[in-house]
Amino acid sequence: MIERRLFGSRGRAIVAVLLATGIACSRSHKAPQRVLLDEEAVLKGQIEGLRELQDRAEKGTLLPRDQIIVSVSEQLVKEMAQLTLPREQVVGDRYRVRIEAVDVRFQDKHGSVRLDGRVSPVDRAPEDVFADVAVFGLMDSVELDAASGDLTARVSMIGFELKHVGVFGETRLGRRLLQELGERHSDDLRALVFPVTIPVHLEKEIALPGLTGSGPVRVRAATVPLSVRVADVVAHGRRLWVALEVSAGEWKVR
Amino acid sequence: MKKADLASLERTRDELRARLAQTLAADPRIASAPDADVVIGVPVDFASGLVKNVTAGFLNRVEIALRDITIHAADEVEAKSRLFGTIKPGRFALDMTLQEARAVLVPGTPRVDFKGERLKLDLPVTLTRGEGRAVINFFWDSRGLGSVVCEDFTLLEPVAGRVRPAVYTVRGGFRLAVEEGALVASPEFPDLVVHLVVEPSEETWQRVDKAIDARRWTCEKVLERVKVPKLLEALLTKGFDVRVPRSIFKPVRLPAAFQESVSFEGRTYRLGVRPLALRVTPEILWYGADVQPGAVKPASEPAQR
Repeated sequence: MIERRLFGSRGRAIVAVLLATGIACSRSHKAPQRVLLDEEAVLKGQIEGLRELQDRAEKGTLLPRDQIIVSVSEQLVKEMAQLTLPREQVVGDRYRVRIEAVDVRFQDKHGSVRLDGRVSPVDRAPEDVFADVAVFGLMDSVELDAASGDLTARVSMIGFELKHVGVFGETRLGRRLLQELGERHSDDLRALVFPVTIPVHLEKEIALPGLTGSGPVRVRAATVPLSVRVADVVAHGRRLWVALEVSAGEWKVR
Repeated sequence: MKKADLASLERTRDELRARLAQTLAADPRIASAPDADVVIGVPVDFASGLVKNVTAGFLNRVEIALRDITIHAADEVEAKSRLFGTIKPGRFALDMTLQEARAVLVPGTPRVDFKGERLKLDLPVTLTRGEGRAVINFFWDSRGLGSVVCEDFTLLEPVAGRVRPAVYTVRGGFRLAVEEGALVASPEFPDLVVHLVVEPSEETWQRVDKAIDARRWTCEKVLERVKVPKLLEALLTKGFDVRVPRSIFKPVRLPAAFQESVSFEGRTYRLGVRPLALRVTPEILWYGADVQPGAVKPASEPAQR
């Protein structure tokens, strides 16, 4: 039995992209036939993204000329995300979810993420009733923490897949619990997606030290604040490209 | 949807992928990016603009203040007399104590030229907004018959004026290199020597003239011989050289750098960061690093940049 929830056509497209392009966790899933039903949306989404990239590439606007560019490989982002695995969370106060694997793909404009794990009721032993869960997300925004200057890629959940596995999971109780998870607690699964830090730090200011002493020349210490804004995020060539608009403010003498 | 239609969409997608790959491969800016886990690209125009801004920032805060400097001039005065021929009625000593002279540097618009990993820079700076205060102490020391003509006296007068504006060119540059995960522009400038000249105000001249006029007329003749105002002007225009040390320029870290550790959910993770050399292209400065995510750091160790 398979429970599948996807949020919007974009979500369906991405999930199918992930599956169609062969992303899978380390355990082998037998891809259900119904995944192929989304192939049209997948392909249309890919084509739309590729056309936009092609248009920008031809206009020479894929890389900005006046903004700082940060580019990170999908392999590194995957490894960064794996640092926090396995991770276990309780969702909807009723389900324990253990995420064990992550995969990341940067192509056709969108960054996509797949988390694979196992879900079981909190009041039962995990081996009694469980299902494999795959959570699909889009890594479509990057945020700059104004206080720390750290760059963080945000993942928004777009869908999930539940699949019964194991002998004990096929009990009536198990089916009912997992059906309820799919129907009533799907939003709670959003808590499973987590941000990934891009190991690049942005300064908030440039500080120039002063010069004092007994000589005739004195230089007052000053700072110039830097305003940094994420201007664009796009995935292609197995890399995530982040454009940062940086502007310097007025000098402030200290 | 029919299989044939899906196949058609697939063909379209594959063609677009191939076309995009070709376009991107032909884009010199993207193709020039180093192959590394993390890459930071800084457009040359952006780096130039930032370095210009920072260089102006260095110079814009320079204040020059000279204090308590005394210049001394002294000489014997000779005069011709119908009765006695050439006589030496006395000596004068003029001490000018510069109590304070202040000025600031105001940078103009720099010219920047990228040459490899060096950013050359010509920047006009104006010595301006200066003013000075001094005290002149003129002492007349009469000798022999001179005391009959003009006996000893002291003239103590304050002098005020402005520092004469002057334009200098600062020539130097910055060497760009990746240091500790950041693109650092290290300054390469010589010392800048500026010449500070105080020009007395009109009021000062009037006061000096008035002080001379207040002497006996015979003394006036002596003072005319000495040409006090000219002497004073000569002393002031000689001016003072002030060395603005190159150390006012400091290395500048450009605002994006690789991190050697990251914190997440209260845990800090070490990252093995191996920066690659700076790659300079006509449009973008690229620097990259291979990153190996590592172990959890003990809680006592703070996150590093």
